Amino acid sequence: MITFKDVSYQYGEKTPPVLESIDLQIPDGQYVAMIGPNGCGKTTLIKHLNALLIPSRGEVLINGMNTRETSCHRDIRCEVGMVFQNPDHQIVGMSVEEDVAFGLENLAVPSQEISPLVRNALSRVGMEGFEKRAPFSLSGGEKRLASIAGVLIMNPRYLALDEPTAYLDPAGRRRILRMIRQLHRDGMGIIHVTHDIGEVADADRIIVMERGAIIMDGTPAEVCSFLMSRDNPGLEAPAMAALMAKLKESGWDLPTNIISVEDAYKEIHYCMSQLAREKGFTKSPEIPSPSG
Amino acid sequence: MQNFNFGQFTADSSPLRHVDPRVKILTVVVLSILIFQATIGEIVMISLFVGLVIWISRVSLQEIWGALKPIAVFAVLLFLLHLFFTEGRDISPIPLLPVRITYEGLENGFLVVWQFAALVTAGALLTMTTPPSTLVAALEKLLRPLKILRVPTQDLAVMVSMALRFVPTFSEEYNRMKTARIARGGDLKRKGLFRKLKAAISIVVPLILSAFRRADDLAAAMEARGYARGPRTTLSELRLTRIDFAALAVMVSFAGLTMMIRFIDF
Repeated sequence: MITFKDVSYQYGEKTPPVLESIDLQIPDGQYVAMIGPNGCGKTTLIKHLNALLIPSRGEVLINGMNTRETSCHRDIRCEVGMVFQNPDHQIVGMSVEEDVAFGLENLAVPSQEISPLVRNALSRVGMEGFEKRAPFSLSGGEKRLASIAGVLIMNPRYLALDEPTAYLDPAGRRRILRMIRQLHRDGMGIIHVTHDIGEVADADRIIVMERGAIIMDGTPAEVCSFLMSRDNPGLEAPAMAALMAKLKESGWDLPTNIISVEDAYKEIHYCMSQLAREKGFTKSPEIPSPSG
Repeated sequence: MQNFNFGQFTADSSPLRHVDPRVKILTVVVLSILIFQATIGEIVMISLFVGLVIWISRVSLQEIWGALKPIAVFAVLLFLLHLFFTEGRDISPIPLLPVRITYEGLENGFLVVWQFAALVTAGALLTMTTPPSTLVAALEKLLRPLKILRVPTQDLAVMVSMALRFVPTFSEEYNRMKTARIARGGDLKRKGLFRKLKAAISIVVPLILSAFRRADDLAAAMEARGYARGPRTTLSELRLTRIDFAALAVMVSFAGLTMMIRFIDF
């Protein structure tokens, strides 16, 4: 369990706080997404997860370990793996295997045990055979996967990702998102910071931040409804929800708390089939309801 | 900058790749001592040895030149300084040349440039044929005795590794900034010393700032992956094999032979 107790943080004594009175609990294995505009404190918040930042006030507990205790830092960093926004800025090694091995070297794992674990971590992210490649020669998506492998090798309970799809092409984005979902299915807790709510439709929970505070915390459907409501402080609503709202305005009986294309398709398809039945079109195909 | 390859591991297929990096580092150290003490007579012998190592390493002369190129201007300057400012026997005066040139100046200039080039070649051969991880592991092992004096040997080894890791980053960053300047109409090949200096500063200052930012990000990324003071291991485990003992024997014999020749000379 990750616990934030009344956490505030400011970078300098004379600067305004970047985080203010954050209370948050993230149970094991939960997929939590964080959205919010630039400068709202998302990155600052996740840097508290593995003790890169220590709160100015309040405390952060990772499975009971307080990030203020320097002696716990190594264990905390094994519990929460952190993948930064720009993979170029976190490459430590001159080859992919050296880079991935870095975490285990720091944990003083015997040399002969490191190589098989590196191969295993690379195969988890679908990068078998990349061991000897120079990290700088990889594509953006491959660099990102290699940096995730470098964190997975430490076998963390949670994985914190800061905008993992930034700078990637659509294929690279899909690959990363597929992998995040797989890791979540395998039981890993995910903390996913993003600007695009569309890519976290599968999350268990979405936290919306603004000016260093949590202004909404709920399921994707709840957060979507919030973003479509008048309470939305100016964040962009999901494209699918906006489409559904337009259709609803035109008289279609559709929900507006939809994030993913798949869910939107199901709802529209269901609505059309109902309409076809009402109009007496007997050849209408049997379409399952969104819930079924 | 684009062809700058000093400090980069490029010769993966080189037979020297399989020699223990500790042996290679020791060879470079011994060779450096010999190079600094070399007399004109020993130059031929050491040059032949370095040439033989280049041949065995299968590193191309083009790659060696790539490592020497950035220091060429500096070497020419050193040569001229020695040539013009060393007292000694005058070479017959050259018409229209306002300064005196001496035989000793010519000899010293040649010796210093050779020393410089030989040292850089030896260093480049070491890094070109040694993967950085093994180089760092070797450094760490060789420096280990200094732990008694509380020297942070592991941190020093990681620092060397990070310095090597930043070479391609800087090269890439420099080229990106240069392209950005040219794309906005900047002329980096201006004539005149002052203009050239101004153009260089316009790239160097943002390059240094970017380096600090990168170093900061990298430090955070290293910390996030558990880097801290304390015991560490390395991916590559070093074990001396027969090849290493043979290489050590060759190095010791060569150093002994050179010293013997000097002794006979006296």
